[in-house]
Formats: sequence, structure tokens, C-alpha cells
Amino acid sequence: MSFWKIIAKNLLYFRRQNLGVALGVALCAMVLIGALTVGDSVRSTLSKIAEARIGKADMALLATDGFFRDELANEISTELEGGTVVAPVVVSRGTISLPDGSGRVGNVQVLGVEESFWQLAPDIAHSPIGSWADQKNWPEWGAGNFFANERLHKLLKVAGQGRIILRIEEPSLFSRDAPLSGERDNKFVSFNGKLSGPVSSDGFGHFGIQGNQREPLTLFVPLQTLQKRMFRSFDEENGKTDFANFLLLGRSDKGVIDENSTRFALEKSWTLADAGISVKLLRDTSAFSVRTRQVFLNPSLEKAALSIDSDATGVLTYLVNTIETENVDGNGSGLIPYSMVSAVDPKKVLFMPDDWSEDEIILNQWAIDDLGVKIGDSITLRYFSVGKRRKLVEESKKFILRGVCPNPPNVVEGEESDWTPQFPGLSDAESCGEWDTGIPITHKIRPKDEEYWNQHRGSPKAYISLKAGQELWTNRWGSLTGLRFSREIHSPIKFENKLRNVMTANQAGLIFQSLRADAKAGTESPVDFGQLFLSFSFFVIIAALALTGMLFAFSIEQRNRQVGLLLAVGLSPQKVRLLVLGEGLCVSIIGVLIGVGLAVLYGQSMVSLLSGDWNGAVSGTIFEYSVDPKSILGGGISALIMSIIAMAWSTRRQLKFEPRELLSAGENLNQNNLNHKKRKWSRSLCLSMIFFIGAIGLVAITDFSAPGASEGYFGAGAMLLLSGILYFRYYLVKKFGQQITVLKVAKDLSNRNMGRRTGRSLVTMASMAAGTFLVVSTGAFRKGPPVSPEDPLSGTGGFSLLGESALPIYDDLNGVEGRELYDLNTTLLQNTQVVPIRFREGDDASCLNLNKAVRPRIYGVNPSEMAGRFSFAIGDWSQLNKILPDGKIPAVVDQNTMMWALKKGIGDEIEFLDGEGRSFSVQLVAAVKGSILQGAIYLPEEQFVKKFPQQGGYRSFMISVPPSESQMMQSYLEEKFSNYGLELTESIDRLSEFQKVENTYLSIFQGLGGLGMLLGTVGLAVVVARNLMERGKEFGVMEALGYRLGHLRNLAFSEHFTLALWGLGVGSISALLAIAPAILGEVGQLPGLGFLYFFFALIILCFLWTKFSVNLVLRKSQIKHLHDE
Amino acid sequence: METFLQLTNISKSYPSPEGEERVDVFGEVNLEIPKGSSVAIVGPSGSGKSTLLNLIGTLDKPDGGEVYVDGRSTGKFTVAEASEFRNQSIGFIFQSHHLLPQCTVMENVMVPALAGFGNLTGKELQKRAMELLDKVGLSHRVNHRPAEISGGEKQRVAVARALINQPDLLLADEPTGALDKMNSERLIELLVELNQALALTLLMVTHSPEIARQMKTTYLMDEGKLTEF
Repeated sequence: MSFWKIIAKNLLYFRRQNLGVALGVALCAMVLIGALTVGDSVRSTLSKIAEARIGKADMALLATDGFFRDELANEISTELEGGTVVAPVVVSRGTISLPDGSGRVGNVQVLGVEESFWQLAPDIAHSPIGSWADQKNWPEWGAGNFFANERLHKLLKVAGQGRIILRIEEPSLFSRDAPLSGERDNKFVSFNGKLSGPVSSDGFGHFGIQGNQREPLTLFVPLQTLQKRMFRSFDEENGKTDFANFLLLGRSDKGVIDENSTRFALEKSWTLADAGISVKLLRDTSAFSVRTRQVFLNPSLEKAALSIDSDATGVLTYLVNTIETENVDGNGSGLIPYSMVSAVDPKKVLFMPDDWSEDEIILNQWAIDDLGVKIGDSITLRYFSVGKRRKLVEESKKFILRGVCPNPPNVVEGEESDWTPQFPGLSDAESCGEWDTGIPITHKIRPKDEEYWNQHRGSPKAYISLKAGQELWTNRWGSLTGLRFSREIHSPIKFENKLRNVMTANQAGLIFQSLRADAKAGTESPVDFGQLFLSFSFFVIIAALALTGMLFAFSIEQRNRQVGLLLAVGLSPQKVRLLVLGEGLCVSIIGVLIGVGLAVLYGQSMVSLLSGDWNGAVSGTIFEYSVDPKSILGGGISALIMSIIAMAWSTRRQLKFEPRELLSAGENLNQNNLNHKKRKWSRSLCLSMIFFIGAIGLVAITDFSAPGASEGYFGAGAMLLLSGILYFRYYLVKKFGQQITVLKVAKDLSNRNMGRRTGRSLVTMASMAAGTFLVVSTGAFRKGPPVSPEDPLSGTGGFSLLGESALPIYDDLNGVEGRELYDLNTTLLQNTQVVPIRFREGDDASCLNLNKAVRPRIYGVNPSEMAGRFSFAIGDWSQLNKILPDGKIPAVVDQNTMMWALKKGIGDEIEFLDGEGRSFSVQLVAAVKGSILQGAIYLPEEQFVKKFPQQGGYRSFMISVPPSESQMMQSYLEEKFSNYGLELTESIDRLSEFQKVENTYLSIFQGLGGLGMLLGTVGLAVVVARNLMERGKEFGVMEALGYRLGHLRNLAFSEHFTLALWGLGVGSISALLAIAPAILGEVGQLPGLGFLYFFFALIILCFLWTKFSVNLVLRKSQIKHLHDE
Repeated sequence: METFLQLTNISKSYPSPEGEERVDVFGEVNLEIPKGSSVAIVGPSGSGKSTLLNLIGTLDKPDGGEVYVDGRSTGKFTVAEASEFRNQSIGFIFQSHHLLPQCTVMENVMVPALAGFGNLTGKELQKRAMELLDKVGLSHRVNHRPAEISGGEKQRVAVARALINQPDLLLADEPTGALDKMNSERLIELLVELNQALALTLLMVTHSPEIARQMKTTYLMDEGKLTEF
């Protein structure tokens, strides 16, 4: 006879009890493992989506704000091992419309790709160059046909191979925010082509670099088709159009490219031309000048060039509106219109004396003659600087004429002066009349000005010191337009090589991004759905564990005498405990095995609900069910441990009794554990009263319609619940426990019986009450639309509309100038205020994105325009004006985004890369309460433009307009800015989208909590059955005394159903108080009819289980128990 | 003769149902029993006979006084020592047999061996159980379950179970309380026989004067006092 043999015998002999326990464990395991498999399914689906998004690509090279030669792809490829594909891509955004005007889709991702791109598709067969293309009769790739991905294709609703019109912005050489950046309005390029597709996800239709489960809207265009039109005026000198701004790298086979080798290959392959840097030989001096396509030399380039020779000559050339004498008059005499002025260090040029003063100027002979001025005369320079929203501000500076320099040499057509860089819209102009510099031409251009232009092009007419020039014209892009080096010291070719070698690809704006690592990191969803479902299944798990513990304890209670005997014959209490729990362990293992099977069904149901009724929590994503064996193992072991703990806990008291007690009292041992001491029941009453008064107090001080009403009333409801439970305890002890009443009718007897097992009765009632309360009252936290969306402190910030454009808009839409430029109806817009926001693409960090935001979106806002808008949990907009140590940039963030997506707190820092690939830190300084600002971080605009100088204009807009006009304004602005792909949304709809996620989470919690409650009613049946079985002899006696069996059943039913009714009553009254703001005020949302059904189901189940147990135990006469006696 | 069991000034009380006062069961009980003797304790219900037996068997602890069994004071036993003492030195026979319904007769007899204090192998234990069952006349019921044997037989299995670890002291608490006359007589005969054959000290609580007379000494427990009868 061994220890395990006796366990085996117990398992078999008490098989009915053990089966019940095993089913309880199975339920627990089902929920635990099932919840974990929901997490597996979400992870697996997100992983598949990420795989489809990046295909076979492992890395990407981005020119953050510029373009490089597409040949760079081949050059890198030759440096890498065979099988590596490097595909050049042009990434842009645009608007697509149908020729008949019947449809338009804005803000589309436009990808100019060639065949090498498709080689990196998840399955090349499904791409436009694959075998599927033949099967579907798609036209040949590269013949000027466009292919849409599935989502775009669906939106366009183009039948067959219909035509579409694609409109994109022609890129500028440098930011259109910059002075002299060219024409003020955007230049558009249009394409008219046949639409084919759709390209499925297997064919690379989901391609995108932002981690998001949503398929982007993508149009694929043959690379050369796009390049020819898009870059038509990019290289005036050579007429080249072969540029790209993105390289996709991967292996066409199943291998993965090596990151280090790839970085090495890039460092070896890139040229200065890829960064738009050139070394220009000067004609008039024995020097050469370092220049850039972006006109102004950025600080990295300046630093790198000066590191080779710090004795270089810096030049800053700028277009001034006028060079004026003091005798200027309204007829145009005494001024020279539109001239170049160069700033240079006087010590570095011969025509400026060494004893130069900063307020002195030199004019060339032509200007001296034109103005008729003499040395010592006052000369004023008037010029435009670019203010906020590209507002041109004319400024002026007075100088004293110090000298005269000779006229510049003639410049042949197609060339430019040695002093002047290639300004777009200026350098290529045939005559002054063709100038398109982006500044208004208000002064008359004289024939002699045209003549000067024809002979000398943009040669400067005046020179000032570099220091004075930089004070006037330094901007965020740089403070030099050229850096001159002597050819006597440096060979231009060797210098070019040296410059290339001292610069890194990052400094040249060529930044590598590891797509595969990012995709992997991104699939680690900020919300672990496994954990989420585990916490939401709290009630089901608790119900299952309580049931398990209760059934096990009852099973052991029945064997109290056995336990007593084992102790009496010398088995140590530890050994007996081991015997009992050993049996529990075996039962649990069986239960877990059953649970694993059920978990698959449970998990599948949860996943299908997530793809169905609970879809709001996952932004419409459809999940595939998937199981990770680790979840089964982990969940199973957890269920096992929890069950054992529940068993140990529920039997802890039984195994503490003395053997003689166990032997003599047997299964009736725990009865009459009621302590009738007055002190105890009066304490319950006192506590009950305190909580009741607390609840009333909280109600009295909480305003129904205030934003915090939900939380206040929830607290009051919770206090009422505690008060009710404590009062019930008092009621049990005082009314029924104390034998101070005289039994008058038989029902009094059943009432008295409720107090026999105070603990059991109280637990039954309290669990019913707490469960009902929590399940229903959680609804108090459901969020509805704000009562006054026009309220600046609401989640909409008082904005009625918000949206984004595909192309940047540069001008202030609130100003007269901007409205005129875009032909906007000023009367219509009189009540409208547009707050433009700068936007840096990144991962959506809102709750709508299931992926982790590896690189969140950044917005640049003007704090003064946002002041007084939105409610802050911590700080306010003024925090953005803070100057932080170590160059850190302050940022405002939505509280939900901060906590859940970024997993950060106030004071935490996030690292980003600026436009030149340098790392910078952003510190979170303020958090906005639940708002439309979710999903990104907000920097001060001033800092934004410093970090991303090449990124011009605004692509995000928040619009304040009276609610009654918002729909009209939406249509009007979308129509007016259709070329820009402006798409607006009502801010209240956006807020609802976010709230829908939170509300769905609450629905899941309530749904699963309700399920737990319904399952918990089985526990009531067990308690009832157990209570009645213990009292078999008592019922036998009553029968012997003449009670009919039916009468006894009614008494027993009434006694136990009362417990359930107390629980449901206390729980629902407390819950009603908790959701009072939704019922009587206007805060939160009322629970739907589902909750009424839930209540009915609960009452009916309680009724049926009680009836079932009573009828089961008392179905036959109990007189037999008297014979045993 | 050598004193085997000695009680010195033993007292015991229990809390009242209201929990505020204590009710004395007995106070200053003294008793000396020589080794190999058979003793009956008689007395009215509630006089504390079973309590006294529980104190001797370490199933309960006295409020005052000392219990010596074979020269060992049981009052300061730890839980583990008390368990070993009960297992190795005492054999219990209760009014009810308390057999494990899930186990066979043979297995029930072997249950005390599960405590693991003895050093017999499984086979030796089985052999001893078989001998004991033979001795109590149940060798033909070895593989039966408790539900398949009569009340008298069950109690005889309980006797065999009490003897499996060869105890020095057999404590029987109204062992015939649930048996008919014939089965009672047979059980007492068996206990007397074992007392004589194995030199066991037998201490029995009973209501029956007839059974008491078959013991060598009889004590009366009444109003908290124990007197030789």
C-alpha cells in the first residue's frame, strides 16, 4: 500500500466529486490558455501582415529630404554578394481622380518602381511581372500603366482598365519655405494612365515602411514614367531625371542581407552628387567653390569642408529688392531693383580693404554709375526675409559706400556668375521678365537691368562683409551659399575625394532603416491581447477557481473522518496534506488536459468575436486563429498551479482540525462557526453605516454633468456595495444567528438556517453582488462624444475638422494673402480658423494601430495657436516654450498614447533622427487627456523646422468652425485643395474612433465578466447542494415530525434563493448608483438592453440552479439518515 | 508491577458554546496502570471518559498535569513526535470503525504504515497484516471492501489496523457501541485474547458493566473524578 496507490484509489472511488473538480479546473485552463492563444493569434496575424508589408526586403535607404542618383542602387548591389536586390524607388504622395470627375482619392502613396522592386515581393508570381499577371490579362509592366493595390482599387471603382489622373507635386530643389525657393505655388505634375491591378498583399500590395496593420492606399507607377515628369526641371545643367529617394534592399532568395556589409557598401558607393553637393570650378579666379543643390550649405557640409581647409572663403549671396540711395523717389530713380548682393570676408578678397567696417558696402561700377553716388554716401539694401507661414517680410539695412569695384566679367548663356548659386526660377531665366523667385516683383525692371542680366546674369552689384550678410540672411538651412578653396593649394578632384571621405552617408542625408528589425519590433503590439483577455477573463477565472476550490473542499469535507483517522494513526499533518493535495494535483492534471481541448474552441470564439462584434478594439483587423505551444504549456501550468492554490486555500482550515474533532464531527465539522459576539455584529453594522454615509457624501459633492462624474459615482456605488455586504453580514448574525426571535412559521426556520454557515452565505451573496456591480458599473466608464465639441477644453480642442493633405500647403490660410493665393471665399471663411501643423511621417502611435510605434509621427505646432485648447492631465501648451538642457526638445503628447503606445511617462525621453540623420532627444513635458491628438507627439514648430529644415509647408490641419458650418466647410476646403489631396474628418468622428476602441475594451470586459457571473451561478448550485446534503438528518427528523417533502423543498429553496436575491439586489442597486450620471446626467453612455437580458439571465439561472439542487438532494425522503443514526 | 501508564493531576476544560467561559470536564485526575494490564473506564455520558482516552492517545492536550506512557511524558511532544508516538506506540479502536471505503480490508489494515515511521518492507508489512487478519478471523475477507463486510467484521478490521505497528498500548473508545450483542462479545473476546497473548496494555472506555467486568481493573469517571470501581 503506497502513498500514490491510495491517491489512485481515492481518484477512482470519489470519481463523481473529482469529475466536478476536474471540470472546474478545465474551465480555468480553458480561459487561461484560450486568452493566451488570442494573444498568439494577434501576434501571428500582425507578423504576417508585417511580412506582407516588407516582403523579402530587409533594409531601406531613405534620402530623408532629398533625392539621389538611382544608379546608386546598382553601385551598392555590385558591392554586395549575389542574389542581393537593391531596388531604386521614388516615394511620393499624390491625388488620384477619375477623368469624368466621378471619383477622387487624396493622400495616396505613389511608388515609382522598376522590376527589381517586384523581385522583393512576398510572392513574385502575384506581382505585375509575375505569372498571375498573365492569367489576369494585366498589361505589361513598364508600359506606362499604373497598378493600384487592393484598397485603392476598391476605392477608385475603376472597371476594366479605365483611365485615371494622377497628380503629384514636382519636388523643389530645396524647401519651399526657404527664401528664393522659386514660385510660391506648388508645381504639379499630372499623369494620365490606365489603371490595372489590384496588386494583392502577396504581390507587394501592402508595401509600406510605417508599421501599421492597415493596408496603405498605394499606386505603383513605372519608375521611369514617374522620373521623366517629376524631375523634368531638377537638373537644368545636364537634363538628368534619374533620381530616387528610396532604396529597397533584400534578397530574392530566402536569405537575409547582412546589415554591416550593406552599410559598408553604401559608404563605399555614395557620391557627393547623391547629396546634391558639387565642386564648381570658378572662371574668374583660381579657386573652386563647394555648392549644394539646396543652395544653402547645411552645417554638416560646412563643417566637413572646413575640416579639410579652415582657410576657405565663405560666400553668402542673396537677392535684394532694391539698392537705394537717400534720394530715392516714387519714379524709380535712386534705386536699382532686384540685384544680387554677396557677403564675403573682406580680408579674403582684393577689392575690399582690410580695415573694413561692418556697416560698409562696395558697389560695382555699373551700380555707382546707375545711382550716381560717391564714397561715403548712404546706401540702403531692402530685401525679403521669410517669416512664419512663408510670409514675406521686407526688411532693410543702411550701409556707407566704402568703395567701388570693377564691373563683373560677362557670363555666357547657360552659366552663372562665380558668386551666385543656382537659384530656382532665377538662374534659368532668359530675361528678368521670366524670373520666378517666389517674391512679388513690385519695382519696375528697366531696360538697363535687362541688359545687365543679359551680360552678367546674377553677378552681384554690391558686396558687404560676411558677418554683416550672415546677420541679415542666415536662415535655418544655412549661412553660406558657397565655400571657396584655392586651386593653388587643393586639386579640385582630390578635394572632392577628401570631402567625400570626411562625410558619412548619414551626414549626406542618406539614412538606412532596418525594415525587418522594425517590422519585428512593431508586431510586439503595445497592447498584449493575451494579457488583455486574461485580465478581462478575470471573473471567469475567479468563478472557475472558486468552483474548483469549493467542489474540492466539499469532496474533502465528506472525508473528514478519514483525515481524522489518518492523523490518529500517526500520519503527520504535512503527509495528510500531501495526500489530499496529491489527489488534487492528479485531478487538476486531468482538468487541464480537458481544458486544453476546450481552450482551442474558446480562443477561436474570442478571435472570431474580435473579428466581428468586438472589431472596434482592433480597428477592423481580421485575425487568423493561431496557437503557440508555449501558450498551452504556460497556460496549462498556470491553471494547474492556480487550481492547486485554490484547493490548498479552500481546504486549509479542514486540515488544521484536531483528529478527534475530525473523527467525531465528520463532514459537519464546519457548522455553527458563527460568532455571536455582539461586538462583531455591531462592528459590521457600524462599518456598513460608515460606507453608506460615504456613498451619500460622494454623491452630494459630485456634479452629475461634470467630467469626473463617472469616477465619483463609481466610487459612491462601490461604497454602497460594501455597505450592503456588511449590512447583510449584520443581518445574518443579528437576525438569524442570535436566538432572540421566536419561530412562528416554518419560513422562520429557513431564515434561521441562513445564519448557520455565515461564511458560506456571505461569500455566496457577496460574490453575486460584487460581480453584478462590476460587470454593470464598468459601463459607467464608457465614453461618448463630448457634450460640447466646440468647447476648446473638450477632447476635440474646440476644432470641428481635422485632416491631412498629400502635398504641403505653405501659406497662411487665415491671412488675406493666403486666401487670395488659393482663391478662397473670404466671406465663407469668416468664422473659420485654420491651425496648420507641420508633419513628419512616422508610425501611428494611436490605439488604432495595433503595431508598436517604433518611430512615432511628429507634429510641429505653434504653442500660442494651441493655447487654451484641450484639457491636460499634466502641464499645458506653454511647456513647449521651455528651454531644456542638452538641447532636448519639449513635447506634448496625448495621455493614452504616452501610457499605452509609447509606454512612457512625463519627463521620459524619446530619441529621433533629424533631417540629416543625427539623433536628438525629445522630452515629454505635458500630457493631454483623451483627445484627437492621439497617435503622435507634438513639438514646438520653431524646434521642428530646425530639426527638419528641408521639410517645408504644412500637411496637417485643425480647423475651428461653428458646428453648423462644419460639413459645408469640409466639402468646400476639400474641393478647393483637391490638388493637394486634402482630406478632412469631423474631429468628433475621429474622437469617436478612438473612444470606440476603449469602449470595445469595456464591452469585452463586461461580456467576459458577464460570462463569469453566469458560470458563477453554478457555484450557487454547489453551495445549495452541499448545504442540503449536510442537513440530511435534520430533514429526516422534520419528515419524521410530519413535514411533507414538498414543504421541505420549498423551505430550502426559499432559504437559498434569498441569498442570490440579496446578492443581485445589493449589486444592482450599487451599479445603478454608479451609472447614475449616464441615466440622469449626460455623462457617459447608458448600458444597452444587453444588460437587462444579463440581469434576467442571472436571475433565471440563480432560480434554476437553486431549484435543481434542492430537487436533486431532496428528491427522495431523507428519513434514511435517521436509520444511520 | 512496573507502571506503564501514569496520569498525574490531569485537568481538562472546553470553551462554552458562547465562547466566553470554559466548562471543566475534569480536574486533577490521577491514574497508574501497569504494563500488560487491561483497564475499563466506565461512567455516564459526558463525564469525560473519551476525553481522557484522547489525552492519553495525544489526540488532545491536557490543561494541566502530566501523562507518562512507558516513562515518556507526552505533554511536550511536538506535532511530529506525537504523530510518531501514536503511530508506533498506540493502537486506536473507535466506536465507529472509520475504515476507508475506497480501500480493501488488507489495505485498511496497512494504512498506519503510510506514515512511514516503521522500517518494515512492503512484503513484511503485508505478511504481518495477513497474520493479524488471520488472528481476527478475517483472512477470507482480505480483498473485500468495507461496504462488503458486516459491522462486526469492520470493527475487527479496525482492531487489526490498530495492531499493525505492534503498539504497547491499545486504546478502545466504546468499541462495541455500534455492534449487536453477539458481535460485541466476539470483539471483546478478541481484545482480551490479544491483551493476554501479546502482553498489550488495554485501556477501554465502555458503558457496559459486562464488558468492564472482563477487564482486570475498572475505574469510574463521574463528576470530574476517577475512582477505582
